[in-house]
Amino acid sequence: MIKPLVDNIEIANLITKKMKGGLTDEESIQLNSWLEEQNANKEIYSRILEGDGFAEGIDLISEFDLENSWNQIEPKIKDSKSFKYKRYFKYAVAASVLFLIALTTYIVNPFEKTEITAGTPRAVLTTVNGEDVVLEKEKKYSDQFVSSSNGTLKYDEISEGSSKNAVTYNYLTIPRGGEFTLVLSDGTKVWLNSDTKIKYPIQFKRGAPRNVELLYGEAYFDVVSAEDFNGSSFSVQSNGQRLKVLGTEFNIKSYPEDLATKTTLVEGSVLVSIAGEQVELTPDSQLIWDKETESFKVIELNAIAETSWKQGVFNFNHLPLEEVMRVVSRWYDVNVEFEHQEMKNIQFNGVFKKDQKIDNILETITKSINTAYEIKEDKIIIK
Amino acid sequence: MKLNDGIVSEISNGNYLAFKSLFDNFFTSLCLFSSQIVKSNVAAQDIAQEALIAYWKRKSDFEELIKVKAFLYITTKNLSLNYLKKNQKVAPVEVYTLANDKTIQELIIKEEVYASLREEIDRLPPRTRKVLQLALQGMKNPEIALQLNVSVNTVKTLKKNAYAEIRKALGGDSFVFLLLFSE
Repeated sequence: MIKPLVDNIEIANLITKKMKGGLTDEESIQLNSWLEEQNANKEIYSRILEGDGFAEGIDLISEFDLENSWNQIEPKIKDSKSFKYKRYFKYAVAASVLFLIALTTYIVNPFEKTEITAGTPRAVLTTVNGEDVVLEKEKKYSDQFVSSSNGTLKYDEISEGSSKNAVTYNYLTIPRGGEFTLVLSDGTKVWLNSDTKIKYPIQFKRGAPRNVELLYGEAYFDVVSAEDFNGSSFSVQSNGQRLKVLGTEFNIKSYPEDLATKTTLVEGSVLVSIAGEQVELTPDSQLIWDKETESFKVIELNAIAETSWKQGVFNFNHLPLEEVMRVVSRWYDVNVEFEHQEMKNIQFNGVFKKDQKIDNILETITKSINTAYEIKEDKIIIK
Repeated sequence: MKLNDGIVSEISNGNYLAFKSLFDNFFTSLCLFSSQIVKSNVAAQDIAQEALIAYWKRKSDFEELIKVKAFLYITTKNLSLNYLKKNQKVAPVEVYTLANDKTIQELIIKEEVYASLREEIDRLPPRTRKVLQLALQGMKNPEIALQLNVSVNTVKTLKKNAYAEIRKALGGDSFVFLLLFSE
């Protein structure tokens, strides 16, 4: 019973290839002989070419809840024997995180008043088995192919045998108030800012394109050049844009709450595929993708200043106050409220160190625009 | 992630994230396939979940993606026909027609081809994609503009973006193309 089904799927692949172009001669003969086999086959084929039922299918998709369905399946497949001890491991991690939170709250907060502190190196690593491992600056961690110390997660260089295996992925999530550095298996270094998530292969394959995905947040890439890596290109997928590089330094800022995605080139050259176009960036230029109009523009700027967050400096260059406060809120993990909405658009210019106390920063900002601020628990109110 | 045999061998070793990405890629197709048999979206969703769990339980039996797909379709088909029998939704004669190889064959081939065309649409930026989906439902530009709270000119620009992209991916004479841009 399986055999005819496999044949059907192969026929479907041939039809798809024919529609997209790129059917080989041999495949073309295969498709024709299937068509000639029965009149019914020809009828199926012509209904597909007409798009019979295609639009109806698209209409229906929103009726199916992918996320909810996965939540229902997940406990069932994790109940399988091989996952038992890993499940407990996950609880243990969760429990220890809770304990840590409770402990820090107690130490920092003996008088039930929250103190707002600057961020520190921390991250959560999601392994191929779906385990979550909490990484911190002082905590050492190591596993096959990977180790973490001093705020850097480093993957081993590609081993010779690895190209035979399938590519497997890890995820690294940086919480608000966190930052971390990642060294991939080709030596490429990635600085990750607060509130960021990235997906990457544990081991790149030699000679194959190197692909990573920035799911959200901000990341600075220093890519090992293709020449040093068997000529294979490096590409970053992020929110509808794909960026292809041959060895270079660049920064992508792509937070869901921001109105634009910004890609800044520091050194080298990159090719960005976006909205059906290819754009080549030169150093000290920035591609801005406006999410509302789904259009983009390229501007010139000082790329080093724009990406100074990775050197421990905030450089606000004529930015609206709302954007400035969003950066502050991610690093200090606080919420920000504006008493007067028009304040959001006032432009601010200034440089701060990231280890400064939040009061210093807020004082400087509010004085420069003749207003005041107030901190209520974990919320900053701009008057 | 693009599905391939590599992912199937990862799943057979118990790799849970690999299974998740197969789920993400294939769940909707199984729902759509089943819903055409059972005519109930809720039931179709339950059946698709059950079929995927059945595969996970037998994961070590499979090495090739195409065999996994065949297994999932056949399991979904059987579960769907059982559902119809159990709920007596249709007369037995109709169940017989549905079980007919040719009908099922057409549903499978269609879903496989259409899923791969939908992938091209999914690659578009979100607002461009939304405009296309509304156009596919037969909406005219002014209606789309009203629905999305943008100007008619913005709708035209977004359609133009989509036009270029789809043309690149599928060529100018595919039906998707014709459906979208017949005014």
